[in-house]
Amino acid sequence: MGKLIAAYQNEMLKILRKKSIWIIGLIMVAVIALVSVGVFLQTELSGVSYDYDSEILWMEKALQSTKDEIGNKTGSDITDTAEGSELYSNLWRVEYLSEKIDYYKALDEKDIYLYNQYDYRAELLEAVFENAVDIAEYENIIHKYGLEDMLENGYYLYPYSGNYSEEYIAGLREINDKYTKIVAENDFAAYIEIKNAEILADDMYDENEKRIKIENNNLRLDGNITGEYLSHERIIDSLMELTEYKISVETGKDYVSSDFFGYATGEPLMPSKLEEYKKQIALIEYKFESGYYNINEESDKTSVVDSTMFSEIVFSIGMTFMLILLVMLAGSIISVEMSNGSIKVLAVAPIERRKIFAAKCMALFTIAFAGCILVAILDIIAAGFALGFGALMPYVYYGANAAASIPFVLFVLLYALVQLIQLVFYSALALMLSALTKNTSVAIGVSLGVNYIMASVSSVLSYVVDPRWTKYIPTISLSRLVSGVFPEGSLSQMLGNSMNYFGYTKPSIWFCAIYVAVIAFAMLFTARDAFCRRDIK
Amino acid sequence: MGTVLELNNITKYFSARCVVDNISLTINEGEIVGFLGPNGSGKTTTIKMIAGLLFPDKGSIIINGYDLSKDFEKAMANFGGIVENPEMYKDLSGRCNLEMAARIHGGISKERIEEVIKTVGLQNRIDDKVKRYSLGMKQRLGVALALLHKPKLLVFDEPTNGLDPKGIKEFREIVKRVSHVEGAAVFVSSHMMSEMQQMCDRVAILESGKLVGMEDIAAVVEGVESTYYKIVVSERDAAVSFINEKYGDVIKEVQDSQFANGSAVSIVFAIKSDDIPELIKELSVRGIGVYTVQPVESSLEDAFINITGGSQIG
Repeated sequence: MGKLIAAYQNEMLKILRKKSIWIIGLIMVAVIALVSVGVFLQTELSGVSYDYDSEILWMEKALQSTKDEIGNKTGSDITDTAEGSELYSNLWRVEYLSEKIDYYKALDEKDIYLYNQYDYRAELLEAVFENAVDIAEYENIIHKYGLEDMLENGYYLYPYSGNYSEEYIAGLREINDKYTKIVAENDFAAYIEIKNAEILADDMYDENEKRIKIENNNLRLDGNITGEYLSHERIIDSLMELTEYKISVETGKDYVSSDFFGYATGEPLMPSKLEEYKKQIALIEYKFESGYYNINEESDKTSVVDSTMFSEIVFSIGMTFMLILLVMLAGSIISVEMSNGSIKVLAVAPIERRKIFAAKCMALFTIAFAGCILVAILDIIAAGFALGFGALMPYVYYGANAAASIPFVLFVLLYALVQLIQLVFYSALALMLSALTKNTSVAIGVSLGVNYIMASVSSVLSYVVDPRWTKYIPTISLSRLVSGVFPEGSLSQMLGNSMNYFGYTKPSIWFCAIYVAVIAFAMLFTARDAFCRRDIK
Repeated sequence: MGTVLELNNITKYFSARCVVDNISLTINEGEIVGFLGPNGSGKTTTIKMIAGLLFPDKGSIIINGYDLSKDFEKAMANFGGIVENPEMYKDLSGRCNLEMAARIHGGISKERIEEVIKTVGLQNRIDDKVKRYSLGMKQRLGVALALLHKPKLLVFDEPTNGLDPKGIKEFREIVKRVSHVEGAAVFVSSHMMSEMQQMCDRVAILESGKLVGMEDIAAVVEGVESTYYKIVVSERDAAVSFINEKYGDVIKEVQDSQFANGSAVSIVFAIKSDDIPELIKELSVRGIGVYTVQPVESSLEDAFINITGGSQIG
């Protein structure tokens, strides 16, 4: 045992003296720091309000130059010519710009972000503006200068839509009065009432879709999720998902998956999907109940990622570097010593070769473990910096027919340990190739190649081979194992599983774990055998 | 004297070719044994088997009573040496290499490490990385690594490669001290006959994988009928004809040379040392001036050629 520990210390010393591992480690830290800064800046900049003043100034200039171009001409001068058409266009432009200036001033006054599609006030003011342009076009140009006859005779004046009438304009005016009042009084309930009425009147939705949308609107109203703040975005999306899942489960039809045009497919739910949707309902409800979505948070800052997704991104970066590092170390740990002769120093020492091999494995796995913990620590720091330490939410998962959660820090550490599995697996592969071929390039190249190419090859194979057999491809079982332990991660949800199971039940985590362990053990045993039994020439 | 190294019928094949064929020998405490043989005779293969790098196909290797194939750690705890080239971790310092070896052996004090550094004369460069060492310095470090744990058996394969004359002399002194004073058994192969002759107590001679001789060095040298001597004389023809007449066809080489301020001739020929006073007397009687008489250092080589029937040493 003493000799094993001594050999292990020596191996660690040799590894830690390699400059390459420090360089790769430093690059990894730098890339993770960059991601953290990037997400931080994105979050900070997400709250920056729109620069309405300069937009308004620009539009006022454009308005003046259009007026200058029109000069003394009026709508009476519009004739059935190209000049007439151009004059109409300029007169319309004056109305458009005037209304848009008013629109922007209204947004500015209420401090509403133009592109916040979740803010109901932005939605209403945009409708008011578009209606106001139509009203102005009709009243200030067409009706004022008596152009109706000319248009009715077939002459086309852009952008006239050709369906204006006194009643239509009166309707638009009524809508605008209503919307303006709602915005002025911040009457969210009135908005929801209008939207619900629109949904009920829309024939493109079936009854269930109507129920989904109305129920979602009512949930928004209950929670006063106006969309006024960017922090509402994720809540609104989750509420919509929740209602879609609920109605799907209730009706047995799929209102989550959508067709090419964005409408729900409404296809009958397969049992596996039904279970999946039930699970999703439990997860989202758990998140609302446990305060995962803070509906009272009124913040104009929002990040494109949540803390779980951020961790997954950091780990995917960190593990890329760690994998390269570990494969480089494992691929060279025997073959380099064989080629430069230093293996003789070890082989003539009073320590059995199996202990030397064990010491090398222990050193490699120590580096792998330390690397995973380092990535975990970096992740916690980077996530805290990018999203705020208060925003590091627990990992919510579904187990034993109910949703539950584990704290963020614990999740990150456990996630790191799961990632360790693939480092150990590919290290074992590189080690085996290193011992068998005594060629460092082959060991490193093939191992990295298997990692990067097999993911794609496996996906293709899953279409060619019976999916029930693909689980016997070790890399497929490995990726299923690594992604399957924490299946509720946002990134894994977003990217989905590249494997095609054609409706077959995915291989169980336990099968994958045992299969991967057997393969890894076999590779290590082969490496050990090659190292211990062969002559050193 | 106890036996430190025992080779029992060891045989090694590379593919179908037998490179070491049924070799048996023993080396005792305090004994320095030279290992001679032409290129490809199996010297290095034998040494690699003793060092545990190659596994014999047949036979056993016992180091200090421990069978290498059964008690590897105990056997190798008694082994120290340099095989082929002095191999070490080139990105680490000499000291670091020694510390790593000490860790594996266990129970080696810092004082012992300093002692071996001093023994091989690397005090000034021990903290430099090994990749900055000359071949000679690597050899010195290799010797330090071999001596570190005071092994019972030291095996050196071409240990003086890269060493300067001073280094060679120091190495010889170290080996003699470790063997004759500290009682280690030393097994050494070298190209340099004079080295072997000056250092070894016995020689093992290998040819085509077979052990063809295992002799005391004195007996080997003694066994050679005539030893070559170089004599520098003033008269060429007279000297040559006298030697031919008196001792027969023993002249190996005749060369003109300079001695003091005059011309002279050097003659290399085989003669027994007991006959030299008589030779000098006879030459002087004939008016031939004798400037020097010295042995030519090829006696072991001659012995080797005698034993192996003409193969070159490699």
